[in-house]
Amino acid sequence: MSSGMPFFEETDVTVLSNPARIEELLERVRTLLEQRATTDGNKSERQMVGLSVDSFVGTNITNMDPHLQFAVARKRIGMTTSVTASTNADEIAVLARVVNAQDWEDRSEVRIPTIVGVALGGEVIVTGRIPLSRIEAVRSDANVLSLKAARELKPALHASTQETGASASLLPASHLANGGQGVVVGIVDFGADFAHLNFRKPDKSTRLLAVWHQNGASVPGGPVAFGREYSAAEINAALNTSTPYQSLGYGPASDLPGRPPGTHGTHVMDIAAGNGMGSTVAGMAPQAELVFVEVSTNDIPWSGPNAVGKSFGDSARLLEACKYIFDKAGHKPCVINISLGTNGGPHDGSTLVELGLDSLLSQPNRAIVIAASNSFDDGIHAAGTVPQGGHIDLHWEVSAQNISADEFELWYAGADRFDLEIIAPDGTSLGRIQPGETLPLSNANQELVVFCSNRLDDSSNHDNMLGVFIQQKTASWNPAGTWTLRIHGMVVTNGEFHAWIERDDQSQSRFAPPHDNSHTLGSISCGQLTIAVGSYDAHKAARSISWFSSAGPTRDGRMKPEVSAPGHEVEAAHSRTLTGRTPKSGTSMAAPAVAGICALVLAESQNRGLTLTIQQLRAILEQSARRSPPAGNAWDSRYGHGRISASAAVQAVIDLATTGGGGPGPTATTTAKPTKRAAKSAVRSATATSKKSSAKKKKAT
Amino acid sequence: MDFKKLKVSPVAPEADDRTPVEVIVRVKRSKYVPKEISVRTQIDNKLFTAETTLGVVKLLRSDPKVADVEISERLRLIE
Repeated sequence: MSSGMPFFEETDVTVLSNPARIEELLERVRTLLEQRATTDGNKSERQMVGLSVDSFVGTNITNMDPHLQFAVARKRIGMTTSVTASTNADEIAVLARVVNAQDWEDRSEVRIPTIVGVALGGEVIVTGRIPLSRIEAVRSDANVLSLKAARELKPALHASTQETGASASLLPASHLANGGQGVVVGIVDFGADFAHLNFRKPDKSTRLLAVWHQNGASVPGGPVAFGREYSAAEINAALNTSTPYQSLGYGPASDLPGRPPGTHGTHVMDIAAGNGMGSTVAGMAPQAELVFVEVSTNDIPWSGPNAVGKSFGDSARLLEACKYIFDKAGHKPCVINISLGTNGGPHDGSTLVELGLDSLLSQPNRAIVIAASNSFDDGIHAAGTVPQGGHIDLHWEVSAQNISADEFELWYAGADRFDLEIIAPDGTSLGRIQPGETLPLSNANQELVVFCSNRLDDSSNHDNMLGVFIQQKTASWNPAGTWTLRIHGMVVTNGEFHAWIERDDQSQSRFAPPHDNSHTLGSISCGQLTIAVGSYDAHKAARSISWFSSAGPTRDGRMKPEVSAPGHEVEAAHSRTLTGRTPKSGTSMAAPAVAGICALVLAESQNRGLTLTIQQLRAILEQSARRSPPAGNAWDSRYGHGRISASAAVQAVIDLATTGGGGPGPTATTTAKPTKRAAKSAVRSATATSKKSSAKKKKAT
Repeated sequence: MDFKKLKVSPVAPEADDRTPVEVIVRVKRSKYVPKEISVRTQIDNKLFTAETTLGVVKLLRSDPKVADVEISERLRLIE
């Protein structure tokens, strides 16, 4: 019997009495089958073997599974079952509970028998494919305690395109979006699998215009200031070899033990614009052209335990990546997706990287979409109002596993003056600093272990900032415990503050509960013109917000995230598999859905002779977004103005082109309720541009 | 951990002025480039990136024609 890799490391036969463990094991089965499907070319096996706990626990073996009954009935009336990649004609994939695995294997009608695991009492869970004509015989075998048809699993990316109305069949009948054809989708991320068939044309050539690997070996006189650019011609040449990644000198990282399978960048690019040629499921804008930038940083080691499996970029290089993509796109409409960020920063859009991103959007037919962040439940934000002459205590919990440094920052109005007092976990007050002062603290080994600053007049926004840095645990330093940051109001005209704890994937510290999880957007997600995206679960009828999806607003009170999209268990391209998919969750999965929909809107607009400013595009997306959820008509701190709707957004462009009009300008973006009426008024703002553009064209001709 | 033994360092830590950094610079006058640096990527007429040192950043911050200088900050993948 083919058992493939061992499904159980343990030999605990009671393991299947735990439903959660069963789900975990079954997921491993799914993954294994998917891997094998990829290897064997059985690309639809994943869909065929949709295992569920419900189909196995508490089974009444006296009744045949309805799915099997249906299959048998079809057979009896002469209907044939189509061949699939994993099953032959008139054959069905099954999941069975048997007494003896060897007997299962020995049955001649069972094809590809595979052991899944051992159940209570030593019963064995197996899979296989059996002819429809033999279902009843197999089921009546004393060795077979239960027999179930494998259920089809709907791929999650399919759920995303369906739920948002981005599938071509769900767009307005008269649409001209053409899958985003003529639009460039740029991805700033890590690990582009240019070989995956979802990013190739029917002739197998690449859909990528270029890849810029910022950490690649520079070529003197090359087209980029640093790193290495790979042109479409170079990528195609590599694709024509048996070792494309080695040939090109660039490729997605291999899967690492203990890390989620598949590279992030490949997954994200597929959601935005995969064509489904490999995985069978297309993304939002399957006809768009692609540019990928593998972003990098200049200040961290790229080897060693701390770098393994980690991905970092930096703000200057991110800005350069976006400039590069827009330059590559030239006059073509272009949308860029970014899934980078941290927790800190002023959260008012005033950082230079945010100003730079906004600046790049000054030309029409461009958009930048950014993941809102996944920090909602991390306890990383606190806010309050410090009274004149009084104080507020913030309690900062540093874990015992503190294996990386912790950082705190607090922003407050430029006219106010706060003192910062830092109190150690044992109650010792370590000092109090006034505005303009710093406090460096060392241990007995003369190691700098705590550093505090009280900085006035930040050059970006003229607000003030308190910062505390606690060094990671060492042999002679253990900061574990609850630190108290006492904020004294010395000169208070406003008193309001917001504080964040910097992101730390290894040993995240947090504020003591209860938490204020508002204002948890990422550090670069607060720009004036960029579009921040929250995540919800498209698999649930309630369209529940993802538990991790960060909340707005910005510190200066703007309504971000603008919209939300499916980002929960999204199944998209799995790097280094050519055709495979893998699930991932995060606002990183929601943002590319919106980026892809932006591509559809821009394509629709272009094909109707319209030009959209970023303000107009934002208005269209926000005001065509769907409600219920979120409840009511007001902006929601996590769903934003609502759930993105590709079909409604494209319809808004069609309305704009066909009915014209002259209504309120794009300032409606942040104030109008997302009603149909408002959506119409929003798109009217684009009409003016369109008319002006038409007028200019007429003059020119 | 006996936090009472922590002492105020006599001298605040100072980074070496020669430390290389990448920066985003915003200037007040269109296309102005301080003489101490060269532009790596021009983002718009008043915003560009550059490779320089911490020492030069200090000079830039005292340049009246420079609106703001931001040392490039590390960004993590939102995953």
